[in-house]
Amino acid sequence: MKKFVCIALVVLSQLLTWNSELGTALAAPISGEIAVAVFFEPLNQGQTKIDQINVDAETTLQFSLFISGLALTSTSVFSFKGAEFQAFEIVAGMVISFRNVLIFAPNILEVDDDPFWTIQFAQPNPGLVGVPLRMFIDELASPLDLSKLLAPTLDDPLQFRKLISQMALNLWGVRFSVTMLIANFGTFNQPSFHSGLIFEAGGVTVGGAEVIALTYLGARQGWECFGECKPLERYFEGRVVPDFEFQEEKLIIRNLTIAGVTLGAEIAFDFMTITLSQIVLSLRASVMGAVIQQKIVLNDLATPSFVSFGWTVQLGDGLFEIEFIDPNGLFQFPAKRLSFFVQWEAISFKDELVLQNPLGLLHTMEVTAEFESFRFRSQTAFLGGLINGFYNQKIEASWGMVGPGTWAWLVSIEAQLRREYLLYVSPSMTVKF
Amino acid sequence: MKPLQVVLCLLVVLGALTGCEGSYRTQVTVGTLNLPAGGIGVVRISILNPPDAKMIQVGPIGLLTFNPSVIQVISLTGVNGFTLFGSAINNTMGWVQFAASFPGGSIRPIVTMDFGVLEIPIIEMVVQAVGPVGAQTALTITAVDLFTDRVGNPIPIGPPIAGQVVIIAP
Repeated sequence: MKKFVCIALVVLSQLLTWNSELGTALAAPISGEIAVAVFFEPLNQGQTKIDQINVDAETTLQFSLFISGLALTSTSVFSFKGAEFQAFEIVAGMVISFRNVLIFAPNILEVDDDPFWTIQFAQPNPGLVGVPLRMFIDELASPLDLSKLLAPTLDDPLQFRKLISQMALNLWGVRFSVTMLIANFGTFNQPSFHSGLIFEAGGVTVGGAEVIALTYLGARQGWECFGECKPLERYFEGRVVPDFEFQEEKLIIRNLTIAGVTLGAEIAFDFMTITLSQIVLSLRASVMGAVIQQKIVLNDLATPSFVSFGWTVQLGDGLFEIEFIDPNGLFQFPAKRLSFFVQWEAISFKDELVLQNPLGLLHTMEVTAEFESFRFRSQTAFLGGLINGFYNQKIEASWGMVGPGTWAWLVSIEAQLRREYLLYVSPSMTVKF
Repeated sequence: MKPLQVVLCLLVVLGALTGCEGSYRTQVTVGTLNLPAGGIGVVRISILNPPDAKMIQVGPIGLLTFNPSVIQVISLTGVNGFTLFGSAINNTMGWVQFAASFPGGSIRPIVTMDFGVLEIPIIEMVVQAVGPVGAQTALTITAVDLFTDRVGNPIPIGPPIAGQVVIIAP
C-alpha cells in the first residue's frame, strides 16, 4: 500500500510539472528559424588580384510545433545540391519521457571520439576513412574545406539513415533510460540496417555526486554525422557497429567531493577485448584562492596515455590559467598552455599560448565586444612565434534585432585571412519567428 | 589598468623566452623508439607548427638515413589524412625517400578544449630491429626537397629534427 502511494505521488508530481509546461508551451505553438549563409572563397587564393570565386550557399530551416505536450521539430538543410539533411524529432514527457529522431541524409559518417575526430566509417566512402575531421571542423578551419571534403558523398538522394529512440523514467531519484539506435550503412539501392541499444542508469547522491552507468549493446562510444557534418547534423548518442553484441560498459562519476577535493572518473570496459579500454581520472581543488585541476587518462590500470595538470588563479579582474600537458602519459609534460582572460564591461580579451617541445608555439589573441544589438569578435593567431609568424586573422560581426511578438533577426558577416591571402568571407542572415 | 599591465609584462617575458624575433619555426621531426631486439615498431614522422601543410617530398636529393645494421625499414604509410604516393626504401645503404600529400585538404595545429596539438604525425614508418641489444641508430632527414601549403606555395622550413631507434632487451 505504501509503495502504491509513493508511485501515485511520483505520477502526480510529474503530471503537475507537465501541466505547467503545457500551459507555457501553448502560448507559442509554432516557432521556427530560417538561416541563410553564403561562403565566398577566391579560386586561386592570393595568386591574383582579380580572381574567380568558389561559392557555397547553405539554407537551414527549423520548425517546431507544440501540441498537447508533444514537441515536434523539423530540421532541413539545403545547398546547391538540393536537400542534404532532414531530421524529424518528437519529444514528449509525462512520467516517462520519449524522444525520437528520424534522420534522412544522402550519407552517414561514423567518427571516433579521439582528439583528431578520425572518421571510422563513411557511406559513400570516397577515401574518407582515416581522415581527421578536426582539420576541417576547427576554429582555424575554413567551412568550404569541409564542404569540399564531403561534397562527393552528397550525390545520392535522401534516404533513411538513422533512428534514435530514447525512453527515460525517473524512479526514486534514479534516471533509467534506454536508447535504441537503428542505422543504415548501405547504399541507396542496397540498404543495410544495423541496430544498437544503450542502457543507462544514473542519479545524484545526497552529497551531490553524480553516478551514471551505461551498457552498450551493438553500439560504441563516439558520434555520427550526416550531410556536411555541421553542428545541427551531428548526433552524439553513440555510433552503431555491425555486430549486435555487448560492446562496452561505462561507469561515470562526477562531482564526488572528499575533504574539499572534487573528484571525477570515467571507466570503460571493452567486452570485445576483455580489457579496460579507458580510465579517466580527474580532480579539482581550491588552494589559497587558486584552483588546481588534474586529469589522467589510462589505457589500462598501469599505463597512462595522457596527463594534464592545471592551475587557475584570479588576478584582479582577470583569470590566469596555466596547464602542463603530456599527451603520451609519461609525466614529462612537453606541452604547456597559458591562458589569460579579462572582461571590462562589454569588452573581453583572451590571450592564449600553446607551447610544445621542442619549438612548437601557437599564440592566439581574441577580443570580443557586445554593445546592445551589435556583437564583434576578432581572433589573431601567430604560429611559431609570439608576434612573428602571422598565421590567421578571423573577424566576426553581427547585428540583431528583436521584433514585435517573438520574432527576431540577426545579420552576420565573417571573414578569415590566412597568412597573406583571404581564406573566405561569409555573410549570413537568420530570422526567428 | 593593472590587469593590462600584467598582460603586457607577461607578453614581454614570454616573447623573450620564445624568441619573438625568431623564424617561422615549421619543422619536420622524426620520432624516437625503444625497440626490443628482433621486434617490430613504428616511428612517426611529424610536422611541427604546420601552417596548412599539404605536400612534402624527401628526395631525389634529400634522404632519411639510418644504420641498416641496426634496423631495417619494412614499410611507410600516410596517416592523419596524408597519403603516401611514392616511396623508395634502400635497406642495403640505409636510406628512405618519400613523397606524400593531403588530398583535398591540409594540416594545421589542432587546439581543442584541454590541450593543443602542434605536432601532427603524417607518416608512420614500420621498422624491424636487426641489431644487438644496446645498438642505436639516428634517423636523420638530410633535406626536404619540397614542402608546400594548400595553395602550392613553398613553406619556409627549419632544419629537420632527427629521431632515434634504440635496441633494448626483449
